[in-house]
Amino acid sequence: MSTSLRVAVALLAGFHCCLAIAAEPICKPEDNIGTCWDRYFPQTAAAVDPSVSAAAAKDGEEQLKSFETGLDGGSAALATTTRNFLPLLSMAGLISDSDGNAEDNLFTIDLNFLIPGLATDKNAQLKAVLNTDPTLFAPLQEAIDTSGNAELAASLKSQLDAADDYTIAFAYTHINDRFGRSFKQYQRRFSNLFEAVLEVATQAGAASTDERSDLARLVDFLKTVPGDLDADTPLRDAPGIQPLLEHAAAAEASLERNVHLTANTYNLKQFAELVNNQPQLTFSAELRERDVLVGAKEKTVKVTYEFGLANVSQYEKKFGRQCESVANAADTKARLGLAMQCLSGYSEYIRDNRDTLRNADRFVAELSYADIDDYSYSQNGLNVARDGAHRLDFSVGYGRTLRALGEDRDSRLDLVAKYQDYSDDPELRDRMVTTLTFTTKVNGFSVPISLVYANHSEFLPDSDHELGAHIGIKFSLDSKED
Amino acid sequence: MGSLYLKNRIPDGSKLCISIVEGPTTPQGSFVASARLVLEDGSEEIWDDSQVHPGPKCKKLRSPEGYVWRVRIAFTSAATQTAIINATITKPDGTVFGKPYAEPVSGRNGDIARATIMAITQQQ
Repeated sequence: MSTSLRVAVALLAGFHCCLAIAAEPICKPEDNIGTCWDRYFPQTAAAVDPSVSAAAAKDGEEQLKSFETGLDGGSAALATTTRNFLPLLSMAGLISDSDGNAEDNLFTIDLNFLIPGLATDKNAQLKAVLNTDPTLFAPLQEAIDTSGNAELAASLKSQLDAADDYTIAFAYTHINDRFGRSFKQYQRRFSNLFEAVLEVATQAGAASTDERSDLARLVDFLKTVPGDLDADTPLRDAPGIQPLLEHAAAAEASLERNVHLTANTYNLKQFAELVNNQPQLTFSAELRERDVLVGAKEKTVKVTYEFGLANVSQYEKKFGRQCESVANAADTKARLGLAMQCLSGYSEYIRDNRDTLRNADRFVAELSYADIDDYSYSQNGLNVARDGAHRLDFSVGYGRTLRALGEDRDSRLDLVAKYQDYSDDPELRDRMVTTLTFTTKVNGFSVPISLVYANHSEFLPDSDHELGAHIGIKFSLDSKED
Repeated sequence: MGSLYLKNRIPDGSKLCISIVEGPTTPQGSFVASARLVLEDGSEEIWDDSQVHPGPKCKKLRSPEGYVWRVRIAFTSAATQTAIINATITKPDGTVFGKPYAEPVSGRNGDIARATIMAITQQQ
């Protein structure tokens, strides 16, 4: 069925529905003008009934919670392709691991509530990553092992706690006409689309009903009323108004039904998904503070590019900004034609990308540069020193929701491959780390489960081909402001 | 208050202003708004989001005349958010005519809320 035909069928259905309503008055004698009017708009009852509104709000929050974005925890052990700037407070940690490597025991806390001034556009993120079980620096451990002083190793390990290895990270995502996922920056475009929906619904409705004359008759009547009237005036105090009011209300309700049907037919609500897939360019800076027993301090800068395949930019690349012209049309007829053209292009794009939108496909590429400080330990008869080094990491990833496990997007799968280049450090080896992360929701908590494969360990003496498995848990306190 | 704001016997030369703003905990970018003034010939004068959100966008009311606005809010946020539809009539002497309209409406992505504003001027 063509889009235009579907609209026609939908509008006709609305027309028949509301003629029936108009035929039988539904207002009560004790109603006032406002309550009589609202009886024709069921959604208004939901809006004014606190219990219904509360239920709707809870439903919305549940939906938001169930939209799994993965866990951007700053660790290769739980890599994801989606950086979520929404949570005010988010905590995540690995609760189980299989290999005891340096990625384990990380506990991540999003601290966005500390930067309200910087995060008003939801484009900044402050994060702390704590290593809850730090281990001795590998070369130091090796020196102790060589000395044969097992008691010293045990003594040093007992001195370590989470304050000895933590990272503070700040991320900023650039927002402009092409980058970023704040709806605010696409508000004008969505408004144009919405006006096109209203134009089509209004003009199509006008062709099949006479709601304007019903409304006009009511207005004509109101002009003749000698006393003051408002929505709180009882119907019995405005003799003759009830039938005119009910016919006008029924006709207006029919028009509003057309608006909803037109919006649904042309997939208006999917615009939010296009926004959510917009490219995101993120700049991050990290400072890793470590006790001398744990290792050298590090400073890292990253650039991350993340995008979904179907987004606002791609839609406009294909169809241009044709919806902008609707408001500038010379007359009503021209406006309808432009509105139809706008909606046809938009709905065609949504239809052509339905699977992509449903799967929420995401791609990510990241380049990071780390400056590792000089290291020196000269205590307990040990002398361990290492020159500072630089590390270059490059990673690519792909992620998607797993619809097969449910329609509410409560699970996603992310695959991230990272190449770590230690070219200027003879004691560290370049390596490839691949992480497959499955994240699902369990009673409001995100539970990420990952498999990590590295072609060999970070330090030279260790064995090749490391495989680890991890399970974590995340709790997010999302902002009420989105 | 309900979805209908109705005032009659409004003095000639008064102005009606519409302003649609975010609720106390609702951030910008959670909805777009539209107000369409139904003209005598049945056509509509479009006041789009950029004009009424936050607005105010005003219309001088002439007598004898009846003015009807269809106000709609299209929500875009995953979580339920609130928009407040405000309408105020100011008499030519600058004082407010009657009780202003302030109607909160809530919704999330895909929801369209509405209100109707009717202003009838005093007959000469």
